[in-house]
Amino acid sequence: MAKYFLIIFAFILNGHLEPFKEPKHNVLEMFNEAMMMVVLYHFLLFTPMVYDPETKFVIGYSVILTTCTHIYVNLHLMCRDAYRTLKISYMIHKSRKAFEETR
Amino acid sequence: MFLYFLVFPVMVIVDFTVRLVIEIGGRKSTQSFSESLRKKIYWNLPIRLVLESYANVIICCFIQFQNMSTDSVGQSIQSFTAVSAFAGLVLFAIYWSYQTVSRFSSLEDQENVDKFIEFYDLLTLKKGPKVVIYPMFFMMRRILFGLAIVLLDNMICF
Repeated sequence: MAKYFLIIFAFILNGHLEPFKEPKHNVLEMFNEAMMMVVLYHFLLFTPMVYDPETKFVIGYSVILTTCTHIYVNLHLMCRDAYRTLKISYMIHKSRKAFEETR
Repeated sequence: MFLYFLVFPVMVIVDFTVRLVIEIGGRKSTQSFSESLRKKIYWNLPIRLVLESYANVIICCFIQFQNMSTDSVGQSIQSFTAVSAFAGLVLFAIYWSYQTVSRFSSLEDQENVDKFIEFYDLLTLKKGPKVVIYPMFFMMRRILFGLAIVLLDNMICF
């Protein structure tokens, strides 16, 4: 339960403070908290609240899907940022080289 | 935890060696290398190191708290290390938050950026000192997370 309250508090804090310089970081932080909350809500269903083991088995797929989505989105954003940085630095390098050749 | 305590002394020794080399040789390239190294060692590198390893070290400390004993020398060292690491991490959170708030008006000065940027990197300073709540909460939630998963393992029931 402590984790639930912490995540809800983090969610409120992020939404209220918006502590990061770039809006995309704020959105990503909110997304991470939201996904954590969804996973934790799944964990509620693994308690004796649900008796049927087969239902719990199916819920497990949902947890895996949610976790994979979480990892995919974070990795995708990381790779996209790295690709853009590389592209920009390559373009700067190329234009600098072209400028030096014309001099 | 061993690595955690090892990295900083190693970097200080490297810094000392480089400064010694400068005194003997006095090359310009070595001097610029030493300056960039010093910027990282004091204090950006230890701050980042502590922030990244915060959760791991806290969990290790709480695991050790479950088996505290002073029966042998090894166990005493482990217990002492756990207590000191835990106290250090809690004090770290309080001290740096206090420092950031007290120096808030001069956080964007080059001197502070060179030394402490890792603590408030990516944070927007336009919103005032309340932004410091975020790194404080970052550390507090790790302490509570460690507490929840280690000490309250058999106590939580839905």
